[in-house]
Amino acid sequence: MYRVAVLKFPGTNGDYDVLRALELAGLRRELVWHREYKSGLYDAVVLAGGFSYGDYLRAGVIAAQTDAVRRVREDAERGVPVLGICNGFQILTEAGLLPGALTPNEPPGFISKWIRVRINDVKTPFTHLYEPGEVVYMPIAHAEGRYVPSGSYSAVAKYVENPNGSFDDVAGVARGNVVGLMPHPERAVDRDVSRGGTGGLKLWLSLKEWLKR
Amino acid sequence: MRFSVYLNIAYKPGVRDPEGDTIKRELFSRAGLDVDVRAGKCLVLTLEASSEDEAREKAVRLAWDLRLGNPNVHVVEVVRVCTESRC
Repeated sequence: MYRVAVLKFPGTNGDYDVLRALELAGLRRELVWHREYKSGLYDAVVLAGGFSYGDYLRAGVIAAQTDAVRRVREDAERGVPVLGICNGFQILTEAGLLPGALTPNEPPGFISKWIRVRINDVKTPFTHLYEPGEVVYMPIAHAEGRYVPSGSYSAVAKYVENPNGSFDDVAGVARGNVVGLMPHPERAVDRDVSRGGTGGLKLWLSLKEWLKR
Repeated sequence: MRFSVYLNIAYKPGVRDPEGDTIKRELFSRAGLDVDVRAGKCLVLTLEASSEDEAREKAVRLAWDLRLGNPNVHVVEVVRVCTESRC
């Protein structure tokens, strides 16, 4: 059985949605408080969304400097799949595990809506079951999602209609086994509660298949 | 002449500042540093005035008139004033 850690900081609020999505995919998962996170224990790690440390100073910057994220980096370097969603993606860029930065939306403001996302890179542990270029619906809910690259990057997903001024329509970035996404695949898995369908489900099934390899 | 006035809008001393406290605790204290932190918001107002003093006075008055700070809990401080060519 594979163990997937769902990392929680003060202010994380997407953790239970991720736990539910992993459960639907049939993966054994564990909610891990950041102080309890140890490297070498988990087969995959998800940094869930929310407002870690109240988004003080800058979204994700304080969580990025915790021991937990230092340990996630050690795991990532050993090839453990790591996914950061929304605030988790912001944490990964602030920690330097992913390139670039997530800056305030243009036009400014918090955006919460369902959008179409094109899966651009189907070689990652979280996307390999998607067809190249497959378009799926997922919700976004963020104020700082405008991606600004620094050097080269690999866009794992792109917005079909750019909602936030993100460079080159980038909705997510991958570096090897580390993936960051602004859209929420964990909120698009359950027909009964997500009005936009189940476009996120394949992401969790991709992880399950990947771990079996 | 146009002047840029850097304003800091922050909680008055004695008013709780959760952002400053969090940055102190999570970044400085964790690094073993004994540093106090207060958070504020910096706004740079670039406006027309005949002197540096007038620019300073005008910026602070605008800040209160437009309620950039809440007078019950905030201070509005001028951090720096410069002319466009010397900023």
